[in-house]
Amino acid sequence: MLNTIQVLCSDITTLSLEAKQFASYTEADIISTVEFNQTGELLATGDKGGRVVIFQREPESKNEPNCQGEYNVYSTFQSHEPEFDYLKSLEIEEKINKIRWLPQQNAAHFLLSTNDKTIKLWKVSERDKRPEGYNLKDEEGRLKDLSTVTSLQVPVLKPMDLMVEVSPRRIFANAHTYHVNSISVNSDCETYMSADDLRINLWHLAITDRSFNIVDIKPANMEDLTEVITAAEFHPYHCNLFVYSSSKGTLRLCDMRASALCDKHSKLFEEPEDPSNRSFFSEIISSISDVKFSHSGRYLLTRDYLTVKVWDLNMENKPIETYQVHDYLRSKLCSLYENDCIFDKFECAWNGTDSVIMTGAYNNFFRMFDRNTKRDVTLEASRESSKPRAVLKPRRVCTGGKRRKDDISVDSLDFTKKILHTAWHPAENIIAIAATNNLYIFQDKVNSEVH
Amino acid sequence: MIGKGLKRKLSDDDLLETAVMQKGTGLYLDQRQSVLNISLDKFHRGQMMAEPSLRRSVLIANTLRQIQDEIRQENSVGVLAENLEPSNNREEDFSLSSAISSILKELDVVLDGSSSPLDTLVFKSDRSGNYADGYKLCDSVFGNFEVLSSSYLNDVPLDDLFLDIDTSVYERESGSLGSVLNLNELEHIMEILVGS
Repeated sequence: MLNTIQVLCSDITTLSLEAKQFASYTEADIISTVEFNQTGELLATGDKGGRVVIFQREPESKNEPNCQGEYNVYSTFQSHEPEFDYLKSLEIEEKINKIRWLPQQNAAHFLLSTNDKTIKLWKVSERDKRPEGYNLKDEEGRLKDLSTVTSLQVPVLKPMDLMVEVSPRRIFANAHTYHVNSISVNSDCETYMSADDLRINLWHLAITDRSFNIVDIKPANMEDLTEVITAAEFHPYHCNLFVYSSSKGTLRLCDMRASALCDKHSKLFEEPEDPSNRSFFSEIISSISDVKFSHSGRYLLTRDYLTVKVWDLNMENKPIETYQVHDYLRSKLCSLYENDCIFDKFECAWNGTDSVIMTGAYNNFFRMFDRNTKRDVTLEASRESSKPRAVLKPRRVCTGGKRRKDDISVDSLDFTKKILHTAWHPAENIIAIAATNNLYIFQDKVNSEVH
Repeated sequence: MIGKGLKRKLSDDDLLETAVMQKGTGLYLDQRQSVLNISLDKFHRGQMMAEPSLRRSVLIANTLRQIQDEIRQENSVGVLAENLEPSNNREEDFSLSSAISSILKELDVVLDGSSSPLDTLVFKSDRSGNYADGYKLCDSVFGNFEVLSSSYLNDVPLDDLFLDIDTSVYERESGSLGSVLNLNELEHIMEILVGS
C-alpha cells in the first residue's frame, strides 16, 4: 500500500478563504499543527498566525464515485491573538502549538487549542434552521409593541443556509510559566493535561480557575537544569496512565493512582547509547521530539532527530523496533547544529491499525515504515508532483556511490522545507501532511477503489 | 547510507563533518573547538531571541558541559599539561561552568520572571569575587582555548578564533545586563556590590 498514495485534494492554498500565491507566504501562514478528530470526518490545522482551519470530508457523490471523501474548508477562526506580558516584558506568540479534539458527545464538536501559555476550548456547531414567528419579537429580534400583539402563534423552525458557528467555551490561562508543548485529552472525557518544558498540569474540562500539577521537574536551582519535558500523552483507555518524553531521550510512564504528584515514574524507557556512534551531538539527537501511544495502547512510538522507535510497554530497556528516518544526516550533524536544524521537532504518527508509521523529514520528504513487511518509502509533498489524483512516486536520497536517475543527493536537500507535522486518519489510509504553508491530503488508492 | 567498514574516499570536509572520530586526534580537537565556538555563539545570539526555547538552551548547555568535562579529564590525565598551567585549568573549568549556569539562569529570568535581573548580577559577583575580575577570568579562559587549538592546529586563523570567542562572551555579559539596566546604573550597582 505504501507506494500507492494518491492526492485527494491538493493543498491549503486552493482551499483557504483568501487565495494565496505559493511563492509568497508570510510567517503567520506556516502550519504549526494538524489533527484529525476521532471519526476522521474533520481535520483541524493551526498556524503561526493563531488561526485554526477546520476541514470536513464531503460525503460521496453519486455522479462521481471517485470523488468521494474530499476535504473542504468547514470553518476558519482566530483562536489566539498575540499578547504582551507586561509584568515579564515578554511577547506571547499567537502560534498554535497543538490542537486536540474531544470525543464527540452530541451534535456539536469540541476542540482544545493552545499557544505557548493559554489553552482554549472551542465549540464548533452547525445551524441550518432558524426560528420564525415569535410572539413578542419581530424578525430582527426587537420587542414588538405589545398593543399590536392580538393573537398567539406558535414559532416555527424554517430552513436556512448552513452556518458553522465557532464559539470559545473555556479559557485555561495562567498555569504555565514555560512553553506548552503538548495537550492530551484523557479517556475519561472529563480531564485533560497540558505539558510545558518543566511541568505537567491536569485540568477538568469544565473548570478553568484550578489545575493540578502532576509532574514538576524544575530543579530548585535553574543552574542544575539538564533536562526538559518535550511531549506528553494520556494512555488511550487507561485513564490513570500517561507518558512523557524528555530531552535526554527517556520516556517515563506515570500512574496517577500511585500519588498525586507523579514525580516518581512507574516505568522508565531508555535505550543505552551505542558507543560506536558517540559524538558531541549524541544527546541532542537522542532528544525525543514526539511520543504517541498506539491505538491498541500496547506500544509507544517516539521520534528523535534521526530515528523513529516503537517501544513495548512491557519492555523498558530497549525499543522493539528502530527505523532510520534519514541516517545520511549523521555525518552532517555539525552543520545541522550550526544552522539550528538539529533542534527541529519532528512529529510521528500511527496508522489506524498500528501497522504503519509515518514521520516527516527535510526537502518536503516524509517517510513511512511498514512494521510487518519492514518496507519503507520516502515520499514527497510538492506542488509539482501532487496534481489531484496523481500517484506519488517514491523518492530516493543518494548517499555516495551509484546514483540512479531521479535520485537526489544529500547535498542538494533543502533544509528549509521540512515536514514537522503529519496526521493519519483514525480508520482509513488518508494522511494529512503540513509542508510550510501547504496542507497536503493523500489517500491510499487501493483503499479508495475498494469503496 | 554509509555502512560501517565501507571504503569511501574522504575529503577534508567529510572528515570535519564525520561525527564519530577518535578522541585525542587533531581532527577531534578541531571539531571540539568548532562545536565550542558554535555553542558560545548560539548562547550569545540566544539572548537576543524573542522567544527563547528552553529545550534548545538546555541541549546547548549540556553540550558545553560535555566538552568541559572532557577538557577537565584530559587535564587531570596530563595530556595537555605541558601547554597549560594547572591554576589556569581550574579557572577555565570554573568559568565555563559559571558561564553555563549563568546562561540558564538568565534564560529563567526571561521565561519565568520570578528572579529579578539583580539576582543574576549578585550571583555573578558572588562567584567571581568581583565583577572586574570576572572579565579577566573570561579572558584567561578563552586565552587557554586559544592555546589548546594552537597546539594542535596550525592552519586555523587564531586571531579570528580568539576574537570570536572573546567578543561573544563579552557581549553576552554586557548585552544581557545592558538590556535591563543602562550602563551608568550598572556601574553604580557594581560599586555598591563590590564595595569599591
